[in-house]
Amino acid sequence: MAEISNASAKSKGYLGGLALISVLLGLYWGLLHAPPDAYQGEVQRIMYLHIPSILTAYLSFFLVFVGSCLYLWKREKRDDILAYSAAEIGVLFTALTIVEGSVWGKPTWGVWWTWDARLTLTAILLLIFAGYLMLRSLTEDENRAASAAAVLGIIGFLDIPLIHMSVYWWRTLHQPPSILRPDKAPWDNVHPALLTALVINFVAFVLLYFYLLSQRFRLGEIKEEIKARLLNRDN
Amino acid sequence: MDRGALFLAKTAFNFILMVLVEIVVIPLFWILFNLRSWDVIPNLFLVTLLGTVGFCVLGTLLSAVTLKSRARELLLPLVLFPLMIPVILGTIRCMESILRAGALGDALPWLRLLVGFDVIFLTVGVLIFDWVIEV
Repeated sequence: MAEISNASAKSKGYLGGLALISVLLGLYWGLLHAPPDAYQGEVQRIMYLHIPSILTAYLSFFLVFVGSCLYLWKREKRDDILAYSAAEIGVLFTALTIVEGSVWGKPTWGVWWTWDARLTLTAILLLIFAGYLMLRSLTEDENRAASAAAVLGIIGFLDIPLIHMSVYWWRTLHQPPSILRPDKAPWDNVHPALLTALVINFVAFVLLYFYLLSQRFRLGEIKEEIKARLLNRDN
Repeated sequence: MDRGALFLAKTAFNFILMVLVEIVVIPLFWILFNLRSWDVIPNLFLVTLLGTVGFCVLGTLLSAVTLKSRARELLLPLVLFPLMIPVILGTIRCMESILRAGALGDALPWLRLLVGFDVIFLTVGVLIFDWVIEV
């Protein structure tokens, strides 16, 4: 047991180190190496953080969905811990996206916030998964909380495309996506120098994300272990 | 007992209650505001029914989800509202179009969205309700 946790701690350490290096590299590339945008100038550099953080947030909510489905299906505690951890980090990254977007929006659009389609969508996502976290902390019975949250996680994830569509049919101020476009490949649309910086930052964020997730997951496991031991001692 | 059937029964009950209210309230608006356009009411009512289905399906499902939590009166609207956005927007846009032009016209995609929402969450509800109300 100790050996296994040692090995996993070691690989987690490597993951953390890799995440740190890639984040630093991404910052260097985004802030210094890549040229400023032709129209927006320096402020466009926020994009290197903004897009990776929302993409990792989406990845996170997908993991909530996967973890929730697995938990309801197989009833294994670790799937529940996975869903909970992913939801927490997803909320963090969504909030970060909104903050970065506001910082970018003020000089570019002249406002911190506007009820534009994508902004609204992100705010709704934040609300849904904040509600998910609240549901978990407000339900006392653990198993009950886990299955209720799993149901909410599934509903919330399935609702995302519908909310996406409905909010999109409003008028929109946010520029159409330049990376994930149906009609053009990313490299035809974005200058390679900018795209490289973005890709480096995206990889950095994914590494960072999995590092945080593995730490949060371990925390959940430790909590379970402590609970089990306390229960044994009491008996 | 089959829990999916239980879910359908609960949803149907909420649905009937809301529809009864709507049958009274919608004509009342026409009378009180002295509107002449009685001919749009059937279309309007159809859209309202679709919206009501979505509202009842998700409302029933989530009220069962939040049942055992503390402060559930607070938690339910908080969780429900963001998930309900497609229904709210879709119904409002369809109604707007019917009231303005007398027909759905441009709002047809919204109607599809509403139908899609109803179908998806009715199915999800029936399938998932087993886990929602277990002891």
